[in-house]
Amino acid sequence: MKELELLKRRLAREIKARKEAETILEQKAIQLYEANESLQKLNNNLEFKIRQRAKELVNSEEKYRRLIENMELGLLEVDNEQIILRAYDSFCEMTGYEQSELKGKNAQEVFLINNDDSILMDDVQSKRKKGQTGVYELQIKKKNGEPIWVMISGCPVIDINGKVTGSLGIHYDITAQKNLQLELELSKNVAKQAQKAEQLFLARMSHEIRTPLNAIIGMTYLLNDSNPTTEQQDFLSVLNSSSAILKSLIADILDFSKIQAGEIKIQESQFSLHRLLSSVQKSIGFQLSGKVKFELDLDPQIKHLIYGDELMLSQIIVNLLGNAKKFTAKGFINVQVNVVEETDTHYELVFKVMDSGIGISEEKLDFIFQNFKQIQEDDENFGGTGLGLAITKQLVELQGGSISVNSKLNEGSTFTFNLNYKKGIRSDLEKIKPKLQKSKFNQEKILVVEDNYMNRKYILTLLKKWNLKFEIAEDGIEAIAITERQPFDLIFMDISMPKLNGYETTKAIRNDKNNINQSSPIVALSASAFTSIKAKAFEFGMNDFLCKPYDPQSLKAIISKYTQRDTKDDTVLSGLGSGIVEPKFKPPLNGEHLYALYEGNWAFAIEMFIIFTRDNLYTFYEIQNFLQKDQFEEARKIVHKLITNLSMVGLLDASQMMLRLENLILGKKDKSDMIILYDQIAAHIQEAKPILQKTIEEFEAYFSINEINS
Amino acid sequence: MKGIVFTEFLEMVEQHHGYATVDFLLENCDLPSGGSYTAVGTYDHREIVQLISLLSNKTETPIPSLLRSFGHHLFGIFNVTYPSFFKKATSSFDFLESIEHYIHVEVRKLYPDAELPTFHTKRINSNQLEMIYVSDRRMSALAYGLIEKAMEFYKEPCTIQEEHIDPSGQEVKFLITKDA
Repeated sequence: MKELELLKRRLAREIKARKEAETILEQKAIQLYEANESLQKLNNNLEFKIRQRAKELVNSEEKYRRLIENMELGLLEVDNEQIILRAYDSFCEMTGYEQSELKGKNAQEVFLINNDDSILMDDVQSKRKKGQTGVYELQIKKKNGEPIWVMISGCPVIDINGKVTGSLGIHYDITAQKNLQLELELSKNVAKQAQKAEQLFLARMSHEIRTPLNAIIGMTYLLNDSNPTTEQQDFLSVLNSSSAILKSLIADILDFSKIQAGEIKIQESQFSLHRLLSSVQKSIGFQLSGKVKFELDLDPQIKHLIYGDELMLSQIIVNLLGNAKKFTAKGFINVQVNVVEETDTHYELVFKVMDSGIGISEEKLDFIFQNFKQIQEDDENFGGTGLGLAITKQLVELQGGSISVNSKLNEGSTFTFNLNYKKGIRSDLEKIKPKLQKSKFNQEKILVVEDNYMNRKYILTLLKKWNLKFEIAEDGIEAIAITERQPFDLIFMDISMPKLNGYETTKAIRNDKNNINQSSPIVALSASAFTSIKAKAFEFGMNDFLCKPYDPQSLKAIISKYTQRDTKDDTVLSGLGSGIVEPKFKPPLNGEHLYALYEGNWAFAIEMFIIFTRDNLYTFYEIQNFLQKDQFEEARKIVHKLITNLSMVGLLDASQMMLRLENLILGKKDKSDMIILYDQIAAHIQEAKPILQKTIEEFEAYFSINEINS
Repeated sequence: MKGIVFTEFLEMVEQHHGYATVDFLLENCDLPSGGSYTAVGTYDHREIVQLISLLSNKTETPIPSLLRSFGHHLFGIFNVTYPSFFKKATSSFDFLESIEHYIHVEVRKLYPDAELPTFHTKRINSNQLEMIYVSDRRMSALAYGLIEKAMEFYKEPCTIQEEHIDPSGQEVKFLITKDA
């Protein structure tokens, strides 16, 4: 019974619990239904919004398409196989097709002109498939076959799943621009060719003009020698200076055209900066009037030869100095070279060319390096092409340097340029080379070191006539001894001497600290004008070079360059020869040469003739003996002496042949060649001997030898 | 309190003591719901307190040990009803740590009105986990039982130290140390 009650209660409880559960579930079901309803509404709302957005998107796409169409940009849509899906109106207009004609066609087949372009298109196509955009130019053909150039900006068309379904290209007609570009290129080429032709023309013309010009200059010299009247001399001097100006103008134009044509290349070699500067100084020194002082200042830090284009550097400095000279009437012209930076391998040098000339105004400074610009455009006093500084600038820049100018009107100008040079070998010999300076002694005194009696006689006669004090040394040993004792303002040093030659003598003087002439200027005297001999002279510390035979003018120029002596007022060896009948020299004697050499001092000339025939001539025959005994050096010594001696008596042809003979001996050439040449000279001399004798006899009648020797 | 707690409690009582004891408890407690519980319903938690107190008296068993047994029973039910919660964790500590941050979060989604205790966990080292029980219901013994069964389920024998941070039993710390 009790259990039955228990079961009844349990059943009642469970029924009640089930009803309660059902009620709860019913409520939940309603809640669920309501939730579902609102979810559906939400979903509908969302779908509507999406549709609206999509429509907006399509509208804006369409809007931009229309915009592009209105901008004359042709739109073309293709699938991945280049089949045209849609051609927009402006594209149709651009190409002359109807929309319907293009749809479904292969774009490449319809439009491409060049087969090569299909490669480009394949590349473009593969980029689009990867989803990349790109811009390219292409030539396509219109319906009527007419080609047009289009610039195409292409982009891939991607569907909602991110798959590339094709591409869209914006086409812009650039035919007009392309044609213009082609025309420009064409005219650029034409202009380039014209420029080249112009350069070629300039170069050729300059060359062609120079040939007749040289003839004019040469003829002017010859006319000078044909006893012109004073008036004619004036005309000739104008002719001479005008042709010189013309020649330098043409040189400028030629240089300029070469630089423009890129024909000038840097030629590197090892050279001595000091030597270059002193040779530049020499050439400019002659041209300066006494009112302008020239100074050279080379940084003593430079202890090496340098690698570079010697000629180019010399041209730059000569141009700048020429400029300075042109515009400087008085004051100074200085050249300074300083080391800005020195490394183990290089010198960075700064060159300054300064003058105290008329200067350049500030507004004109900007133009002076421009082609064909001349500052003094309105002033005819200053000639020139206006190319000099432009050339200079280009030469500096060609070597990797830069040039600038600083100037004040009426105060002067300073041109500064930098160049970087690789170091060459150490040139300690350069060190002992003295800084050039004019005499510091009150009494100018000159030392002549010369072993050849005839040469000695010649120079001493001239020095005597100019009232200059001098000493004589007959060889190197004697020269060293005398230089230790007394100071000289200038030393003339023959190079080829017995015992100690000119090089060694100079080296000994330069290396001896106690020698009072350690830094005195030394001028080499040599019959050989070879640059190698000149270079060697400078290397050994000589300052200058005088080539034998020299005329009195050249000797005078050298003397006035190194001393305070102004020889201008001295009458040039005229006295004794004046008032007499001018002699007529018969060939093989060279009259022109003798006139220049003796300047009318015929008494002196005759003495030289006598010395030659009495003392020198017989030595000639010894040459043959030495040659036959293979004693070449002995033979050469005599040959060498005779080169000058023959020239002193006007036997120029024989002198030239003798020079050739010396070269044959020096070059260790075939002995038979030497003998042949010797025989020719011998014949020549044989022919000349009676004429020499006759000349002496003719003139001895007029002159007393004693007078000259006094 | 969720109906499942009541139905499963009475189920446990019936299993251990027979339906007569269930009937006795329902007849002798003052239950506003009338004692006809359904798992989907929600009832006043004071009713379960009355039911447990009376059972404790009748069986002369302390309430905590009754709650611990109920924990053991509930773990079995949960394991059958919500197996996904247990599959997610690969170790006992991972599971215990997931209660607060994963299981309770999911439970609240199903039953927004569910009142759940809070568990703060802290891994002392790979063998020790600190777990702090916080609840107004003060039924930490039920949690004790659940933890014991969970450790058993992952076959990781351990020692559990219990410490009442709050004397009222609202905050209790369990230190679970795996046996070496």
